[in-house]
Amino acid sequence: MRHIRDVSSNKVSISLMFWPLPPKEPIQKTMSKKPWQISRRHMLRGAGATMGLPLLEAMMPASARAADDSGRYDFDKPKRVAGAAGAEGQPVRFAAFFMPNGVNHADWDVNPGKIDQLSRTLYPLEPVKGYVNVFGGLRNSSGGHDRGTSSFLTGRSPKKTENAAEVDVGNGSIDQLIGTACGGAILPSLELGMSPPRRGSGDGITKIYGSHICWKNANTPVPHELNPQRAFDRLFRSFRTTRASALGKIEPPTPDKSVIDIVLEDAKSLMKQVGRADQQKLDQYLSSVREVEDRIINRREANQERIITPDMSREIHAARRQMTKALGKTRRKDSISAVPQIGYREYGRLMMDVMALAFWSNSTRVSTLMFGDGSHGRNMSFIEGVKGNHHSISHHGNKQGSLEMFSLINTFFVEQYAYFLGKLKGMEEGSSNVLENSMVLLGSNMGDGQSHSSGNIPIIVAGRGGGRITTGRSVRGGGGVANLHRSVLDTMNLKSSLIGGGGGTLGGFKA
Amino acid sequence: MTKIDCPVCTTLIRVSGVNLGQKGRCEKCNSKFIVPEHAGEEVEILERGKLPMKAIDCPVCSTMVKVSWGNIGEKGRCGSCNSKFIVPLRPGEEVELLERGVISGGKMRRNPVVKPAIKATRGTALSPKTGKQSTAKAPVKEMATTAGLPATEAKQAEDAGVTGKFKTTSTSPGLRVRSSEAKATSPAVAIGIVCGCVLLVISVLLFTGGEGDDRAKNTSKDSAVVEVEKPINTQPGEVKNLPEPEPEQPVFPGSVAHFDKVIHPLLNRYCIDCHDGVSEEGGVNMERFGSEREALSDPDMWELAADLLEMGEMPPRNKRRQPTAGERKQIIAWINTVSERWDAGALGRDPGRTTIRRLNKNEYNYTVRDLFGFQIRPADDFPEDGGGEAGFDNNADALFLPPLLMENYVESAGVIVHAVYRNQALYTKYLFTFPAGEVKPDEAARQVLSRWASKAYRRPAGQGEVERLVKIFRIGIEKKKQNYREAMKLPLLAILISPNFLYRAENIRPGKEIYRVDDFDLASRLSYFIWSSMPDSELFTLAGEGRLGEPEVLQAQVKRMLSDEKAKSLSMHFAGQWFKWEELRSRTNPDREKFPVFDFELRVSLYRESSLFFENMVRENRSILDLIDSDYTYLNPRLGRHYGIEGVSGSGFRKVALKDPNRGGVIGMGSVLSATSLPLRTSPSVRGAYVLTELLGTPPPAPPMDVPQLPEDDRQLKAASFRQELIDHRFIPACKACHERIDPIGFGLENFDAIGRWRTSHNGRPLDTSGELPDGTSFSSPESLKKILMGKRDLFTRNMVEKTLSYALGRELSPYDRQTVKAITNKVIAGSFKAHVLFSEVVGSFPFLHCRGDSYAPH
Repeated sequence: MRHIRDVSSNKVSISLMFWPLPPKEPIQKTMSKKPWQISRRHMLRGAGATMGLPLLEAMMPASARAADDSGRYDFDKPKRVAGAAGAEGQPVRFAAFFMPNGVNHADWDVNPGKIDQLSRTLYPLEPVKGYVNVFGGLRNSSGGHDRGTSSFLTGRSPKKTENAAEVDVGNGSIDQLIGTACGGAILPSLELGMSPPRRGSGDGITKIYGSHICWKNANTPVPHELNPQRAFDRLFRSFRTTRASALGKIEPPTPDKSVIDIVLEDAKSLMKQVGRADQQKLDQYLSSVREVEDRIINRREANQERIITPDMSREIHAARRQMTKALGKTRRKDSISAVPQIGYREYGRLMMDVMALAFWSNSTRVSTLMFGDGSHGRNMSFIEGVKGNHHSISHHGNKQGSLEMFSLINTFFVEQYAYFLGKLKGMEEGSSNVLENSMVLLGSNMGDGQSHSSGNIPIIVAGRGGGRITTGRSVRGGGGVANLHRSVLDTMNLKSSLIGGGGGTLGGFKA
Repeated sequence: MTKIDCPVCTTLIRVSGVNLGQKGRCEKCNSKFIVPEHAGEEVEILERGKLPMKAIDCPVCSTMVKVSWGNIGEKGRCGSCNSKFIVPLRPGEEVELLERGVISGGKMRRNPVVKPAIKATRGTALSPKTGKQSTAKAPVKEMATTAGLPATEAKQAEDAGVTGKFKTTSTSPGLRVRSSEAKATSPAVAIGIVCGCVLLVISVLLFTGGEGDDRAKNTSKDSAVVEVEKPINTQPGEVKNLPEPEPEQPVFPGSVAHFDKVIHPLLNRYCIDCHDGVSEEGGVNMERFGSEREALSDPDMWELAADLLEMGEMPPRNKRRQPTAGERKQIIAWINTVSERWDAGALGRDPGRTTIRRLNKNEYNYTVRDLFGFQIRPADDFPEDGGGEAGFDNNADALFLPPLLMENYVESAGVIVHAVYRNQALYTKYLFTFPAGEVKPDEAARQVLSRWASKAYRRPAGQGEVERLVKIFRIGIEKKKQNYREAMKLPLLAILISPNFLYRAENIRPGKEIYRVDDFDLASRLSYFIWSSMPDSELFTLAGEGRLGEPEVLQAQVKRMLSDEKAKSLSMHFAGQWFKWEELRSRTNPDREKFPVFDFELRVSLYRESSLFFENMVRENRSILDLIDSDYTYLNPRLGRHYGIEGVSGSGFRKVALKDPNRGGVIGMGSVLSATSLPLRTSPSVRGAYVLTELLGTPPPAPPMDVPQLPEDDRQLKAASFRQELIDHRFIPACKACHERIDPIGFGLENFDAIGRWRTSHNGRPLDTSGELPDGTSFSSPESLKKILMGKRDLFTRNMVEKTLSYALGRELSPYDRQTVKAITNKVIAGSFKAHVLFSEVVGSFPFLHCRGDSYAPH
């Protein structure tokens, strides 16, 4: 059941499609009705709220929930499924990297067909050439720095507005959909980024669009973690040493069911008295509380579900040490900055280390990284041959010198991407590796940073998706980026007609 | 969508469903592109057409005159001698002279540009070969793919000089006829192409009384490039065939009849062609205004329209159909009444509603500090908050609560409770009642929890709420067999993750009323505005007694709070975000190789200077105009060295009198100067835009999409100087109109380098910092620039009032707030611009003290 947008009367309806679901409960737990299971519906009816809700799994008695993991997942009828798996049953992972400001196509494009020769900018992919598919000719649903960023994983054109209350991207992003549908041992998805969100608006468009690629639903952006150490700690709680030692041996209290129940009741009673826009905000509170409850309770069990081999453990400890070392040097500067003041290349690599470990250990199946916000203006002079900031250089004016620097910047990002792919390739899993069982997307908001054009955005998909994808090809096609999204979902055994408001998948995606 | 603009020459091209997603070609400039599938999407350029010529010689004075797409085939004027002529379609062709100008003595401008005539002269298009006047009616051009075109028609179309991609069709009577005239080398129009800024692209042509229809089928064979409308008259300057307003009753501006009879027809005639519901050029749709009531709803848009009308930027200069001077005046006069009515509050009152808002990062930290008295800052680990339109992170609508943040809240609550328990003094202070003798555990718990919930929720806790918390306590005692101490942990945790703590939930009444905010809510509004934190005990006491709303009490509290140390939040978060010195935290990063002095210590010092300055201005109730220019600032020895100011010794910050008039005010501060620069060089455009936007509140329009940038490192310039290169760029017509207003301001600040140091030369050449604003005022230094800004102090004051009100209310301002803004602005001006007047007035204002029900409608 989904909520229909009432466009004619300009009402802002709440698209609650991708409500985070509580997990299927393990069989040994008692299936008693929780006090909030039915009452929420009553509560909302009582408040006179006109929001439609998807039929939440939790509202049905557990016995009525189908334990169906076979076949296609349908976002129109949400329920948790297993998603795609590799040949030996390993879950297929999905990662997306966002590289702002477009590329210099003269050096990026690869001739269609089997890839023998990588292009100049893509040469860092040589070691993993066999795992990579390059897609050309896809069009983003929206152009420009800001809206093009929000449509990168949603496939639709965001509504033009300066007003934060009116943000609307049409539907949730595919990473959130996959995370909600398939879940993960620790987290449904891990969102990372390297630029803080921008405030205000520019050119009549709110900067919220340019600051987020992940959207929980049409109206709710998902912020990303900026600090690799914190991301690490969320995933590998038992491996961290800093906070525990600071607080002494006693663990700080964590809420249990009784606490969660009470705060939910507080929220219910609050919702009775507030207006529509307020209810939307409180909805976020409710859903976030429930999701966190799920994670906290699950976490205790998940540490048993998540198997960490000695190899993994070694890697995790090594990553933690490296992070402490790198971030320790800039602790003073970091005290006033939202973003660690370490070198950009190293910062990216620390983030990717966390992502790779998260995948390997199955802590999560979905992860995204924004290398920068939609108009990324970071000083890239640390790259040999480059002088200037990313945004300015992307407006190359077709001058040779600027184009050259632009290509060098593009190459830098491909290097970072190749680092991640190399890491995944080196992580053994069954008789293959994590890269074999993943889909890793690299793309940009624009095709040409100079003209802000939405056409021919650079897209690379690496990994074999659990053996479903034939790799090592360059595909030149057309159509919208939403086709790519639908293909990704399809490869994950998830079906959705809602992404990008249409149908059709990308020809040649799986080959 | 039925019309798009050629992405190169911006000619208006009509498209039909057949064309969507297909290749297309612009007839005028021969550029090839892909027609987007949906309105608002980018038009992807496949091949750029070449401009046939770069410049022509003025037929009178032979000055070389640059041309661009907007000029080709159109009327033009020589900037040197003021002669009027028609720019030919191809190079080498005759330039037909319309009016001979006078070669003025004195300074001729270097490389004058062709200025399209402003006046609505109804000229004629020349057929280039014959010189005869073409009487072709503007055909309706429809784009068709060659595939769809029958072979004979395609051939015919080609013979007619129209390419196979376009065919001309006849119009039927009643259909609005549009000509694909050159738009937009008028810079305003080029800009109007870009997303959503409220720029009006007003089409000149409209259907006027059916005169053109019978000529529809005539297409001049030679008019391969642009067809123009049948001329309405044959003499320049003469105006015919305008519908006169019916003179039966006198209609005066402000009356509804005036709008219907006079203004609406004018809008229909000059504006709606481009600004209709389908094309929405520049994001403006005037078609939705059926009545004056509806038209009144968007005064900001109208004010921009009035500016553009007055400057002659709208309708775009090269449109044939231009309003007469009288008509312009009429429209502007009407728009003035719109502004006046809103400013006077004649259209109703509405205090607005701020959406329920969660505490942002800073507010969370300060609230925890004030609630418990210790200095842990748990929110430093939270994800960053976004910000609303005005750029403040306390805008309710921009604050979301994703699961990641909820995890952080839960963890932080645990850490806080843990910290309380580990500290014996704190523990005793907070859990003040222990079961002893007659006081049963439940009762003790109830007392403690009631007290702490009330403090945390910032209002007396309801009985139900407290009982719920006691329930958790009881579960601990009975089910988990904990002692009192242990069992109190979880209820305290619950308080800290309750929405009543995390959100500032005001006591909202449903229904249709405007009502006064109750005292506890008022206390929160006040404290979060001035301190970014919860109310203190004095405020709670007054609220409990019901006295906080009394005017004298309220004002006394404002004064007290402004003098409190906690008011430095205003400086860090309000002013820091507004004037952008907040960006020194993460975003501002001068290249360390080029600027090795910009280390952590300098960064922090620059930030402190600005924040101390603002703090002090508020605390000492100084004039807000100090922000424009001041004869003092706050320096430590490091900054003294940085700015080259002597005599700053010792350690720490102190107030320093400035001898150099160039320093002082916000734009003399290194923090702002760094935040408005790029990593490797200054940016006069960014600084100019900053002054216009943040100081005067008159932001420049958005740049067009396809903009090349200047070289990154200004050491590599080809032109004589960086300034010269910028000036050269301004001759691109698409850039000129805005940049001639923006860049001179930045030039005036070029003495400050990219990290705020003073310089008199650059790249080995002496700096030329002179600038001239379009209204003729000139300046040549930051000092003289600041004097000019001082002359616009009323504008600045109004801008500051708007910013302060928006921050105080936590929402964007609506037209209903205009009357409040105007009233406060007047009071501040009358009160010698003193800071306390501003804050007092904001606190005492209608929207601050009131709220409205969900279904309130202003009339």
